[in-house]
Amino acid sequence: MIEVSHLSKHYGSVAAVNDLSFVARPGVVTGFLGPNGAGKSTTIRAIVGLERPTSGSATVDGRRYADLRAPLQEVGTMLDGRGAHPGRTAVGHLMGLARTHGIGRSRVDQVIALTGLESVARRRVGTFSLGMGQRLGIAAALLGDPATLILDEPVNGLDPDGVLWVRGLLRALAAEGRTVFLSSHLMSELAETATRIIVIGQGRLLADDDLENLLATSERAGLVRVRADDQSTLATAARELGARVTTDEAGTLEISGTDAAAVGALAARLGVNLLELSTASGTLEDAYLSLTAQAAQYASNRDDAGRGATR
Amino acid sequence: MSTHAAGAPPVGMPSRVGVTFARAVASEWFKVWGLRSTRVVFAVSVLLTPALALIGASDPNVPADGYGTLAYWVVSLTILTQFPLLLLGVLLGSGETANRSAASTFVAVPTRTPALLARTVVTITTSTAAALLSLGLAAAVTLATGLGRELSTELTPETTRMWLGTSLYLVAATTFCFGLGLLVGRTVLAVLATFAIFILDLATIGAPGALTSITAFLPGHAASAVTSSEEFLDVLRSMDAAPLDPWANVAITIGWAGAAVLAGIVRTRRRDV
Repeated sequence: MIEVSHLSKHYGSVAAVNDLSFVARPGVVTGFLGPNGAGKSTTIRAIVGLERPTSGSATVDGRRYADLRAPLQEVGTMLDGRGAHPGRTAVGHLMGLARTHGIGRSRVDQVIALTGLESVARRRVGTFSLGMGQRLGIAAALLGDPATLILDEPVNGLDPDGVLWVRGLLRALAAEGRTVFLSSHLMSELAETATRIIVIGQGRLLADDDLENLLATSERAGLVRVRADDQSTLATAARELGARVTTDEAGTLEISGTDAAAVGALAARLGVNLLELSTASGTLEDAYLSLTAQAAQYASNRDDAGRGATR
Repeated sequence: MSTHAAGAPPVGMPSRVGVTFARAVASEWFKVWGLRSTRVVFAVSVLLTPALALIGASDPNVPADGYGTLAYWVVSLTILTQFPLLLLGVLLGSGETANRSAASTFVAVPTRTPALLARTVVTITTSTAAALLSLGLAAAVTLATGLGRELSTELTPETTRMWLGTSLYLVAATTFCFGLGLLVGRTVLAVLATFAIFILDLATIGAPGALTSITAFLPGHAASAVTSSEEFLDVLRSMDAAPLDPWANVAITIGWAGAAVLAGIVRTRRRDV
């Protein structure tokens, strides 16, 4: 289990991470979502001791990462970007890590095979494509067969086959009871992989909830989409019943404040023929945009208040 | 490139779990020697002195009585040929920080000190091997020439100081450069600093006493002190340009090396990677 408690990291006057707290639990794929520069990588680097927090703490299974006896066998970490020396081969990079823990060559070969790097195992990392580098990062994370995995943008640069493989792998690892924590700025990717989502923006926690709950907060969740032979009559009637009606670019009515059954019944009562009737499910993208908009509004209001206080 | 499903039980896992210093040394040794740049610079460091020794000794215009001893002939070359070895020290110190691969190392060894000490051990071992191989090969190729047969191979206090002192100096100077690389974290800056420090000393040989009393305490001064003949040292002493004994100069270089490594480790432990 990963516990981050009131973590802050400041670079001079810039707060990369600001009073961030969350928990990533075993048996669950926890997605760490935020735009580029939101503080995801800084948080991950603070968890594994590469960055010194300005305040707060981060622990894995109740201990600081630096206090772990066999870090690679307890936490598998894949850092964003190339973590391997460009002059080293893939095997050389993994062997260098393996030797710190007495892990044998057979395990290195195993993770190379697992990540599909056999054909390039003896090539220098500097010649690798982004996707190959990502696979090598995942191989390094899996090397010690750890109970906790922390992966920073693992699908960045992977081909579709690789993306599907990573999704399956992470779900399988979580199903084995491991803690899987992955960051991404790709909302669709996290929606496919994670069941718990932590959203940050400008270093602050915006949301920490199950994916389903987060999707339910989406503005589009439950939106009734309808096309009919007499849309204006239907729209007017719906508005009279208190629903909010808009029209999308394709001319489809989008009705909120009611449900599909009520809209269907209304159309039948009016004698309007329906050509399409569906309920939109929420998307992580909508939920995220809603959260970040609220955060921006919060920040704006706070700044205004702050300016007012100093006047 | 194919992919495989997860699920195969892991093989090759250690029976004794954890990071040990021996394992850290094994890892650093493997990583250092796995790089082509290390092997190339090491080879140049080893072969440059023998190559220059052979070229010089093959020149019929070089008089044997100008050098007298094999030790003096060989070690006097190291004032110039030491630089590839110093560069190797810098690369071992700054390389991982400069190319951002230090993060992988410190994720595996998060307390950092064992990994940094292990790399120090590898640097000392590598530079010792380079110094001994370089001086040994240079002596061997010189003895195979006409000049070599005319040079004395006798071990006197002076020649012992030259052989042993130069070897110690080369190891200490390389370790100092390693510490400097670790401390600075940028290869280009560390290389420039190294050349400035070590060339400054060469530029001030025989300089007035006031200046020498300062340069004698720099890490590179032992190079000229330990490789000089007693005759030349007497001349310098008469000019007040050799305030310290050559062995004291070697000790100063060792002190600088220890200080640089210590400062480098402290800095690297505190640095965000």
